[in-house]
Amino acid sequence: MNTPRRACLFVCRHSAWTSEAAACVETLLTAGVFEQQPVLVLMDAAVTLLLPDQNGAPIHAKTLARQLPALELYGIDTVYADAAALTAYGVNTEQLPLPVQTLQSGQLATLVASAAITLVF
Amino acid sequence: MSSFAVLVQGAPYSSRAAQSAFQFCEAALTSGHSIYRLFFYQDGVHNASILCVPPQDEFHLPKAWQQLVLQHKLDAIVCVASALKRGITDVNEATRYQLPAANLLEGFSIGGLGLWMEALAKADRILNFAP
Repeated sequence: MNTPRRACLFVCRHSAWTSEAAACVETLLTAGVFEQQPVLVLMDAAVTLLLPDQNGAPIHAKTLARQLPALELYGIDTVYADAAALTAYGVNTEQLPLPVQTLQSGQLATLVASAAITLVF
Repeated sequence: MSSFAVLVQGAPYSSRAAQSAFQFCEAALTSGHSIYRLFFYQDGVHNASILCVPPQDEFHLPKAWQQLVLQHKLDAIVCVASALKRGITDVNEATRYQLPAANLLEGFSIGGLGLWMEALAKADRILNFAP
């Protein structure tokens, strides 16, 4: 399929164990395969995806966070995380599983304006 | 006039997402716009179930979707992974997984996320109706 490249912003607002977060990562990876220039933005509880040593086995859930280090293989090299959410959820920015740029209040509007498509999960 | 790709992630009756998506599509088509593709994802796949029976004084959203799809010959895709996980299946998938019945409304098709990615690239505008 020969499709034109358009920057897609994937905004995830739900925690690591929700179907919304799973849907976001699933579509994000598919967009990467289709070379749609996907960019991931983690906001609110979605920053829990960045917490270390996650294991969903005891609750019979897929460990979504384990997919994040592979994003680069899908051509996804830009990940943002909301700075306020990182603080609120106690995520240590010095031990993140992948390179993440922190997003300050007000910067999301600029990102949305620069993207061809924004999908919120 | 614009072409729209519409992502529906809400189940009928659980939130306003699917109802809003339907009303948007109806209004867009009435105004002369086109729908490049409808893509039902996550709980949105329940909009394509033939088994929904709302009370008589409530709007029959799956039937309304079907009428809109058939009337305007819309490309209405139901995500295969989301659908099978939630018990929505067409005859082919029912046969493949040896299920006793199929329940996908006529006019809808089962398909993969790649079809949504193609719609993202080709439609003029993208709309996401999520709960």
